[in-house]
Amino acid sequence: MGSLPGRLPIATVTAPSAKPRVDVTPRRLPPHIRRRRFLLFVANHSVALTLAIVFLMPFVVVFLTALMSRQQALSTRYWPHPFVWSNFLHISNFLPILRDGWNSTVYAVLSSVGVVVSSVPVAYALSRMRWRGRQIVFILVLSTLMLPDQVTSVPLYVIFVRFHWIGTLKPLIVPNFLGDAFSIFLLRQFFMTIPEELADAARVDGAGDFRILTRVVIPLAKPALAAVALFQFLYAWNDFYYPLLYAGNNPKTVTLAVGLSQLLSSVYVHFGVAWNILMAGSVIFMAPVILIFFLAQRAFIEGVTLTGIKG
Amino acid sequence: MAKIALEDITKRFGSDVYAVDRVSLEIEDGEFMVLVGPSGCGKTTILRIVAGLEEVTAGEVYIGGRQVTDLAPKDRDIAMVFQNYALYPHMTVEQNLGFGLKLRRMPRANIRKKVLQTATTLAIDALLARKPVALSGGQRQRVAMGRAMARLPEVFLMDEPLSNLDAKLRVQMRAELARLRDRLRTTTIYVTHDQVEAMTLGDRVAVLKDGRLQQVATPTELFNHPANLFVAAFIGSPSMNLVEARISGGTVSFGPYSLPLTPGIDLSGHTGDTVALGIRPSDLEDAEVWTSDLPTIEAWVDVIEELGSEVHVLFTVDASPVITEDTKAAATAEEGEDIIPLTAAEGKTPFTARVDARTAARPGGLVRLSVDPRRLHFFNPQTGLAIGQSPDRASAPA
Repeated sequence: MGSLPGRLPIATVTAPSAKPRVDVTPRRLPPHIRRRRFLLFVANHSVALTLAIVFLMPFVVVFLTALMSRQQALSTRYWPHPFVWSNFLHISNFLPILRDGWNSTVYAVLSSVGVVVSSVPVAYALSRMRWRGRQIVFILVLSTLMLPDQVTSVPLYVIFVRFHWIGTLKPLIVPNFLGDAFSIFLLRQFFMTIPEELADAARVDGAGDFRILTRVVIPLAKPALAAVALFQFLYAWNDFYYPLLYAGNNPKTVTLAVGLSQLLSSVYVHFGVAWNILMAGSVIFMAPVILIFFLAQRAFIEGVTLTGIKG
Repeated sequence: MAKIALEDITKRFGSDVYAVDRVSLEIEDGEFMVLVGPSGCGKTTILRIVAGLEEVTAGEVYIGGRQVTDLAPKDRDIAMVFQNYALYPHMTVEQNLGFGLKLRRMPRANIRKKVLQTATTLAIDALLARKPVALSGGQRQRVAMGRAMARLPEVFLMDEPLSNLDAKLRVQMRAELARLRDRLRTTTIYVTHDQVEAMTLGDRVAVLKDGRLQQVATPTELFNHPANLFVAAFIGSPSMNLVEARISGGTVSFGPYSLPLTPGIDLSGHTGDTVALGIRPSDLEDAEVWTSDLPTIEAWVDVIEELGSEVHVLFTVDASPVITEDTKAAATAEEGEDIIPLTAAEGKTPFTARVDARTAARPGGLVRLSVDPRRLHFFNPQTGLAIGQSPDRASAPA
């Protein structure tokens, strides 16, 4: 480049010659900055550790109590002495834990499947198909969220009585195959984040709505599906009210959550509260939830990396 | 291969927003048609209507002589390249390329063959196992092209396929696209707001504004004989100098200048009228470098832009600029790519001349520029339509 007209000539810069790189000594941080960073590190971790302890404490107490003898469970000691692992075996003397656990599993798994299967098409129709009245239907779906359970449980009970479903797991499972407002909402919001062009591209490639849903939207919405299934699983596993209402009167259909509460009363009647046994039951009750949460976490992370792609 | 015909298509959103307004257009078999215009002019909507992704409010669409207005995209035998590529993120490149074939139930071995063939053409055969996230922008663009090509459709629809690439890659891909166009000779509709793409790629170019067709012509025709002020101001970079001028006798005068009219231009009906005069920057040349017997104008230079191969000389003319809805719409279309116009005072018009790099013009100095009177453009400032052209030139739609 020459000089600009009427101005000073511009200095030219030449590329540096290819000299071998001289080793550089890394720059040390000034002491006051290092001190600041260290204090910040300590402060951050103190807060994090405190919070972690607060959240972990109840679980630790439950677990330790589950390993105590019955007398020790009523004492002020924190550490089990001796460790009574046999508590976990003795539960079955008080509670048909396998049968109740099976009932809970059936309820949780089937209702999760039902919610996903039924909510996905609805969410697709509410987010990716254009039709008259879509907005109204969406608001209608949302408004069912505002109905309190107490309002619907009596009419529902009457319906299930007519169906002769009381005392079975059907009232807990079947309604989930008819869609769930919260899951529909969650999935719809997620589907809306999937670029519309992907559906357009699939349409041009020769797909109809069903193919778009199964080949494009569902594979991309895996994390949302995992979240919905997980929420429903946790809800069903922990659910106490409906299993007690619809299935609690039949010993063959008692779920673990209901069974545990019955343990409390039955143990009390015979021996006074056996906290160690109750806590052992609680540990067994919590274990699958914790396990599933850790497994599902992988799906969540996978989902985050997937949705990071645009185009 | 197929001919595309659009018959009076109209797309209305809501009750009074016309995205496309009575557009009729015929695209010949194997023709590369570019739709160009500022954002919001309806070009993408037209493309989506041809694709079947958007329904028309009125009008008919024909592909290969078949009425397809109410057919689903999959029944139209088209392929589309999207602006953001729209690659399926959960599929590998190979699956992306083969998805359309798979949906058409082509045997697996044939799909593999077709995909490989396409990938080789586009030099992406080494990337087949990758997912889109592991590709660079240029590679994604190629995969998007490949997905359209793999199916050998009757029609390609491209929606600003190069606009997401950086400038250097865009130029490279543009040339490659031109090569592909000449090789495949598939009927193509190509949407862009970049007039360089429009001019270099299109067999013909359709200029749109506010959902209406302004002019359909070859790039040369569009450049040399714009049908109205909008096309004149929109096509060409730097854009055409437009100034108010007066016709009297055999001359046209603007500001202090007066140029003779050539016999070929018939402005007899406009004597004494104020017209809009357009001069392309490339039709002004430094008279000291290129000596000729053409008439010249002298001007004080404001700014010099040296581009190496050429020099833009910016100066001001003491005459009112032509400012209409058309010129405003054309100016906003450039999206910051063009030179920011000099803030002209009342009654002053900024002019640009694109002259030979050997020019001696300097800011503050005087420059003598030759003008070819045969290359002057005249427009009716009220209607915006070109005037003074022989009737066979007029290619503007009614």
